Amino acid sequence: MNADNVWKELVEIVGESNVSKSDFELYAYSRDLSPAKPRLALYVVRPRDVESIVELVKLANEHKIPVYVRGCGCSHWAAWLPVKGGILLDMTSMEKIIEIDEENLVAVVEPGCTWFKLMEELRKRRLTYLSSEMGGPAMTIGGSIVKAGGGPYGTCKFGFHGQMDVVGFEVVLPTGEVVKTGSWAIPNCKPFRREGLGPDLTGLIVGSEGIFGIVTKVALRVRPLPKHEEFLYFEFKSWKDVVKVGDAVTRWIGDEAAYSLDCSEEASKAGVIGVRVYVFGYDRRIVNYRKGLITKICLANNGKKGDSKIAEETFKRVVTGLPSIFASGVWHFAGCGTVPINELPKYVKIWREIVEKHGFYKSTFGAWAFPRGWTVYVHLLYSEITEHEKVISLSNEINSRFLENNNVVPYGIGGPDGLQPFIKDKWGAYYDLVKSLKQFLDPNNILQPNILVE
Amino acid sequence: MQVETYKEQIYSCGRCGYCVGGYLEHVCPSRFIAGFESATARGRMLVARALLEQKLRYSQELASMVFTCFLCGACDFQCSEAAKIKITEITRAMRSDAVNAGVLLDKLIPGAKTLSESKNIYGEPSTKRNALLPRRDLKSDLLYFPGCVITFKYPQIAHNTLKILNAAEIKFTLLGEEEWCCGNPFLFMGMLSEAKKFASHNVERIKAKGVKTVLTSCAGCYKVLSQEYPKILGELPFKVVHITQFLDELVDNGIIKLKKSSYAKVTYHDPCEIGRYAGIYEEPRNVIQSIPYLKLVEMAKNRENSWCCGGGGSVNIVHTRLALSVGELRIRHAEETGAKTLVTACPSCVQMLELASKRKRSEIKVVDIASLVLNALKF
Repeated sequence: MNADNVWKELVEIVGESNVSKSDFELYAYSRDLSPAKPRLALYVVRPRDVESIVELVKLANEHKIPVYVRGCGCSHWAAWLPVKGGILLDMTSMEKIIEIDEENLVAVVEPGCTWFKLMEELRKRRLTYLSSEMGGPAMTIGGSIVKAGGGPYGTCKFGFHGQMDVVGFEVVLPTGEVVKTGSWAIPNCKPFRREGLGPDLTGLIVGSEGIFGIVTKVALRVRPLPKHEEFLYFEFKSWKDVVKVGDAVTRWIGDEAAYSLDCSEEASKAGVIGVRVYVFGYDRRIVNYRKGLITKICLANNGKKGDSKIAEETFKRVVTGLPSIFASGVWHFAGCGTVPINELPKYVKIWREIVEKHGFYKSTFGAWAFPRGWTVYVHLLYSEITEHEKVISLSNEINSRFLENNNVVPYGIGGPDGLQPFIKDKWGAYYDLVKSLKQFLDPNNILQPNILVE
Repeated sequence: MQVETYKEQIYSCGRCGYCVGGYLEHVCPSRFIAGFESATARGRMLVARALLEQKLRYSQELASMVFTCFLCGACDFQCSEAAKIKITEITRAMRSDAVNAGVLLDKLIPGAKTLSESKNIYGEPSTKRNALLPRRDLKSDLLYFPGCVITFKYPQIAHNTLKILNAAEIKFTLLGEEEWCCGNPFLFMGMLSEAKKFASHNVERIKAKGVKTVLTSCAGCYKVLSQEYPKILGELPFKVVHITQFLDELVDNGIIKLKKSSYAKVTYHDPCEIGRYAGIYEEPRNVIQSIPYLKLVEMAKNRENSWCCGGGGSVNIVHTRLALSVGELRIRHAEETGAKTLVTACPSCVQMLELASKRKRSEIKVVDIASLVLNALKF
């Protein structure tokens, strides 16, 4: 690689104001939200259109330079950190809402568009999206979807990103071709249906962590803004009772009683499990019925009704930013994964054992429901000055203990600083297939090398 | 290094991105103009950390990045919901450390020299400040501190303010040529010892007048006199009042009565230095709304969420064209309200927004609040 030539070509492709190799800039992009050590790219590039991305990918192939793709940098497990240096694409300049098709209920956005921005625009038209993560205003749609993220907003009803909400993608493949998926793949056809010609290649991109292509447009299902909503808050003493609630609320597949069901227990307040529920509907009678049903289920399972404002505050600020979550400073999520509906208490037990063993009580165990399962997580608050190593060691222990179970799917995998080391030996033939696909689509291994697959 | 003082805060940034906002022009004007992560508060905390860990050193380029920050405080407000990091204070500390490391941006050197020599940012003779003095010096508890921008660029704001004081039969005094720049530009540039010299001079002269209250029409002067001087020199023997607070009291107590003005519909721009830094949001709105038949329409971004005019933090000196684009966006916000008049309460905001409106060929006229009040005042 000739660094001078690469620099000149990058400038030619995106213009000097959209590329940087300044040392301070590389540091500004060196961390995500995890405790992973800083990883420095050689160049940071802010592409503004698909044509630039095609050229950048061609350049990367020519010079065999790795390309990492970053939304707003809010990953929790080193999903984009440039572990092999190279070019880091900051996709936040591609943030346009291209179209909102109110008839077919589809929004087409660029990957750097945030859930926050889309929500603002959709609400003007009395629309909303199906579900989103709880990551604050900077979270990008592209970032959420390529990792198949989700929750707790809408997850109880609509599952994770990609399950019901993604209608299609426009993607630049690692060799520079531009393809669309779903109905969108057919020339002049609108993105109105996820399945298109042959297999579901939309699904190949969802959860791929960016290794199969760079998403340049996303077509998303949207829905009318509900006319009625209710919030409920209950406290439980036992996670076994919470599981019964989750089981009952998600049993009627397709007619889940709750839109969101989010639960947590702080280690410093052991035995107090807060359960926040969000119910929506287009008919008041249905919402009242669901509210009554959930209340009945919670009370029948030893739940104690609490202040519904606690739930309302959580869900109404889920995208704009929760006021308390970052208040104590740096935090880290460990042990994130999805588990079958009745297996939740197993993970609570592991969490409690680790908390007790290390006397580390600045921790919360949480779970949110999706149809027939839970996403579980452990939240660790720590000081980066005095507890950085400790939190990495705790996190490794939690990840290791959680993932040694059979029925658990990691929430994201990321690179060597993420969950990759914990699962790489467990995938078997599926892992080999993913690797083969990667090798076929990306013969020079330029895109997100050492992310997801080693 | 000054940033060392903030080490704990710098390391407590969890990079949540609340300061980054939901789109380029959402929260941070620095991100809006520069785009890259180093222009965001979150990115700057990582840069500060690398400086603390001696992985980075100050350079002209790094300093230039630190000067993409308008010090508008929007990130501080967002972070007050999160890790409560004093981001603008840390940014100021970085500027000061850069100066101490011998890195003063080339574009700032002429201005700093002018200010040191002539005690105002325009290189004008101090005697010109005497033009605002009344024919005879009135003994008063109230001193009007117009500041450099009003004195040399917008004297009409001072004339209008003094006319209102006269109408309210309030005696006042001024420092005249003894007034020096409040020192805000030095504070922006990180030249703290120079700022202290100017603060000491002004405070000594004000003390000599024996006044109880200092009134100013400039948001920058207000912030520096009321918040920075006490930090530099300790408790002051006088209180500092902004014109919006003063007018609100005059109206509220019936000392001045406002009648129908020549304006029908206006919008109001919150200057950062009296808004987010001092919480003066309602006073100017009370004054505007006390004018009969005048409709106040809010811009979507108002009060704590207000968008900077582009004139803050000396960015307009270092990145002039980019700073103007911030002002132009603010003019667009004003246009979206349907009002043709944009009222504000800071001469630097007036200057920046007037320029932005002109560049944008907008119909928006920018008016200082004292001019609006004078227009509605029945003598």
